[in-house]
Amino acid sequence: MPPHLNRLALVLMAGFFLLALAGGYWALAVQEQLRARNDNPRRLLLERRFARGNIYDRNGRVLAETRGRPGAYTRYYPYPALSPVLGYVSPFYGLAGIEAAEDNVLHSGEPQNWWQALTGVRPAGRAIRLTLDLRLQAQVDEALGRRTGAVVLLDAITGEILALASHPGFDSNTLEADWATLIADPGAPLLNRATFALYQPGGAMQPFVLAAGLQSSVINLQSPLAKAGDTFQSGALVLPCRSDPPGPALTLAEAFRYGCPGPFAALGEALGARRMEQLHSDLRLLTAPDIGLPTLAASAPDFAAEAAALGVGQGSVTVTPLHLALATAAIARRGQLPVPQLLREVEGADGEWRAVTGSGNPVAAFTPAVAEQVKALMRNGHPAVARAGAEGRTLAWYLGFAPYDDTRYTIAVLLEDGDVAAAERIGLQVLKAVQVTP
Amino acid sequence: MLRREGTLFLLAGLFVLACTVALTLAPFARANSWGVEIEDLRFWLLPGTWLACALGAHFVARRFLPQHDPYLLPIAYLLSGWGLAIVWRLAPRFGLRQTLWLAVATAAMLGVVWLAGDLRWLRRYRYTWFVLGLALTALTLFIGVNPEGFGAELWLGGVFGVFLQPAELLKLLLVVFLAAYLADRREQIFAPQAAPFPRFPYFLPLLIMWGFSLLILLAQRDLGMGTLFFLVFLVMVYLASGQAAYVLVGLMLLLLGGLFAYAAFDVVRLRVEAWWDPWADPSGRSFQIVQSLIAVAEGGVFGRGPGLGAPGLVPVAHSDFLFAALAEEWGLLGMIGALALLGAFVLRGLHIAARARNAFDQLLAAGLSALTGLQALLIIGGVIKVVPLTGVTLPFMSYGGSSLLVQFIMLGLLLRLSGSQAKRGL
Repeated sequence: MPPHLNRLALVLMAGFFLLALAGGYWALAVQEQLRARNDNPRRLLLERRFARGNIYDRNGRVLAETRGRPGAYTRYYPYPALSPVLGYVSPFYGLAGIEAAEDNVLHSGEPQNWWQALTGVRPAGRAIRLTLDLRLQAQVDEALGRRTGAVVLLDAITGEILALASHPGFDSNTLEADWATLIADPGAPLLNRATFALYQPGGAMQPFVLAAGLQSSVINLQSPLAKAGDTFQSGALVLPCRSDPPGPALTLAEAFRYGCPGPFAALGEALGARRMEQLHSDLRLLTAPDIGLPTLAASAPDFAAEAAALGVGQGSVTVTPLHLALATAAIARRGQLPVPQLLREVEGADGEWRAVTGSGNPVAAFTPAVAEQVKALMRNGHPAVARAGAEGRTLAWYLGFAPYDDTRYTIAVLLEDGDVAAAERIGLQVLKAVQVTP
Repeated sequence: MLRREGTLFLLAGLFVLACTVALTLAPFARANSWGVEIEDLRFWLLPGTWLACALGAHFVARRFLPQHDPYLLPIAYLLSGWGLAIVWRLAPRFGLRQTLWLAVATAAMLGVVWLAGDLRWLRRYRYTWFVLGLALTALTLFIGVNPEGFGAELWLGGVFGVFLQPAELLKLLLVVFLAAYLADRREQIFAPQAAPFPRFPYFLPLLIMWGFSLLILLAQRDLGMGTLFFLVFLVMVYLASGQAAYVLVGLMLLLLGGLFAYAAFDVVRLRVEAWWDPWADPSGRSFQIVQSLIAVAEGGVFGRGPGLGAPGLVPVAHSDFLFAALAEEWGLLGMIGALALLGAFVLRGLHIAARARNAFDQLLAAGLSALTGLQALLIIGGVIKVVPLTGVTLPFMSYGGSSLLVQFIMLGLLLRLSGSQAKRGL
C-alpha cells in the first residue's frame, strides 16, 4: 500500500478501535450507575413480564395485586384510599410508598440459572403482609372523610400500625392519567401526611410535658394557680385556652382539661433545658420512626432558649402524627413506648411466610405511676390545637386510647382545618369501632 | 476467490436466518410461555428478500466481474441483513420499507456492476454529475419535504410514498468529482515549487464546487452531512497531495467553523451542549443521548438478546440511534462485531485503492471507503458520546432508503474497481 493510504487506514482503524473502547466504557465501567438511573424505566417495565409480589393486610386481604397475563401484567389496588401509603409503581413516575420501600422484595428476582440468564427470565416477585387491618382502615378512612388530615391507629402493645390514613389521597390505579392534576393540586394528595409531614404539636404536647413534670416532682396537680386560665402571649403568638375555663384560677389538672397553655409554658421553663431534652429523646420525637416508609423528624432545638415554647408545643420541634400516636401509647401502656412496625411478614423464595421482627425493644419513657396519673386525666382522650408556623394556621389534634383498662389501641388524629371537635369525634368514632371489630 | 465469497455468504445467510428465528421466538421468551398469539410474521420477508438479493448479487457479480473482491459483498449483506433485523424489531412499518429498499439498492448495485464499464464516463462528465447533484440538493431548499411531516426538509418527492434525499447522492458525486479533478490536476495543484500552499488557480474550481455543496447543506441545517463533506474533502486532498499539513489546517478550519456554527445555529449549540454535559438536562435536550447510553449500559457484554431489550425507549432508534438498539440487544460483543465488519469493509476498500491502476481509480476507491468509514465513525461516535451527535445514517444498517441505495451504488463502484484491476492482470 502507498504510505498515505496506509496512514489513512491506520487513522480510520484507530477511530473504530476508539469507539469500541468507548462502548466498553459505557457497557462495563459505568454500567451500574447508568442502569440505576431514575430515568431508566427498564427495571419497572420488567414488571409487565414478571409478576410483582402482592401486598396483603394482616388478615390476608389483598391491598395490591398483579393482574393480567405474562407480558401484560398490571398492578391493581382494590382499596384505592390506601394509595398514599401503598404508593405506586410506574415506568414513568417511578416508585413511591410501600411499593418503593419494599421494592427489593416485591420486584422480580435475578435469573436463577443459565437458561433464565439466556432468555432473560426471572422468578416472580415475593409477596408481603403489612400490619394494617383493612377493616379498621376502612373505618378510619370513613371517619376522616373529606377532611384534610391524617389518622394513625396503633396496637399500643406491639407497636403495629393498624391503620394509616392520609387525606386527600389519590388512586394509584389511575395514577398515570391523573398525574398532571395530582402534582398541580395545592392539597398535595401524593403526600403521606401520617408519616411524612411534620406538624406543630401545640397543645398535643401537654400530656407529655405534664408527665415529665410529675416524673421530676416539680409540680402538684391540685394546687391552684393564679391566672392559669389567661390567654398566653409570647411575641406574635396568642394562645387562648382550647375551651373556656370556669375562672382565671385553675389547678394544673383543670388547666390540662381545658387546654390552657399558660401553666405549661411555666412548666417547660421549670423543667429546664436538660429535662425537656430528656423528654424529647425518651419519646423519640427527634428520631424518624423506622417503618420502611420514608418518615421525618425535626432536628434538635436549642432547649434552653425554647423551654417555655416547647412546653406549649409551639417550639421548633414539629412531629408527624405517627410520633404522637406512639407517645400516646407510652401514656396508655404504663410508660412503655412501643417500636412502630408496618411490615409483618415476607414471603420467602419457597413460598413460606417469614415474620419480620421489629427493629428494637420498647423503651420506658415514663414510670408506670406517672403514666397512670396522666392517663387518668385524659380518660376520654386529649383534644388539642396548635398554631402552625408563620401563617398562623390552626391545626386540630386528638390523641386517644381504648379500652381504658389494659389499653390495646391508641390513635392520633390531625386535621389541618383546625376543627378540634371534629378531630375528637373522629378519634372517638374510630376507637369505638375498633373495640367492636373482632 | 469466489468460492470464498460463497462461503462467506453462507455464513452471513445463517446469521440473518438466526436473527429472524430469534425475532420469531422473542415474544414467547418475553412472556416465558408458549401461549402467546403471534400477531405479525411479516418479518419473514426479510430472510426471503435478503436471500434473493444475496444470490442475485453473488451470481451477477461472478458473471460480469469474475475477479471482484470476495469480501465486500458478504460484509455489506451481513451488515444490511443485521440492520434490517434490528429495524424490523424496532418498527415493522419501517422494516417493510427498508426491505423493499434493499431490493432496489441491490438492483442499482448490480446495474453498476453490469453496465458501468471502466468508469471513464464517470470521470469525463464530472462537472455534469456534480452540478446535477448540487441542483437536486438545492431543490430541497424550495420544495423539500420531510416524510415524518416535521423536522428538517431534506427530501424530495413523495411520489407513491417514495422520498429521496439528494444530499446522499451528492456525497457520492462529491467523491467522484474530487477524485476526477484531483486525478487530472494534482501535479499542477500540489507542484513542489508551490509548497506549502496549493496553486490557487487550479485549486479554485475545487473550492468553489465544494463550497457550494457546503453552503447548501448549511442552508438546510444538515450539519452532519456538512461535517462529513468537509472530512471527505480533507481526506481526498491528503491522498492527492500526500501532505498531512493540509489535513491539520483543514481540521483547524473545521474547528473554527464549528465554533462559528456553535455561535450562529441553535441546533449546533444544543447538540454540542447535549454532548459535552448530557447529565445537566437528561430529560430535555440530552434525553436521547442519555437514554442511548443507558441502553448501551443495559446491554452489557452479551446484550439482552434480540427482541428482549427495550431499545424503543431511545427516540428514533431505527435511524439515528440504531447503534444504541444494537448495543442493548447484542451487547458489547455485538458492538465490536459491527465495528469490526465496518472496519473490514473500509480496509478492503482501501486495499482496492492501493492496487488501483490509475490515480482516478485510486482516489475514487479510497474516497468511497473513507466516506463509509467516516460516516460510521460520526454516527456511532455520536450515539456513544465520543463526538457531538450528527444526523447521518449508519452505513448499510440504519433505516433510510436513499442512504442504502447510495451505499449500494458505492459498493457497486468498488466492486467494479476491484474487478477491472484483476482483468488487467490477466
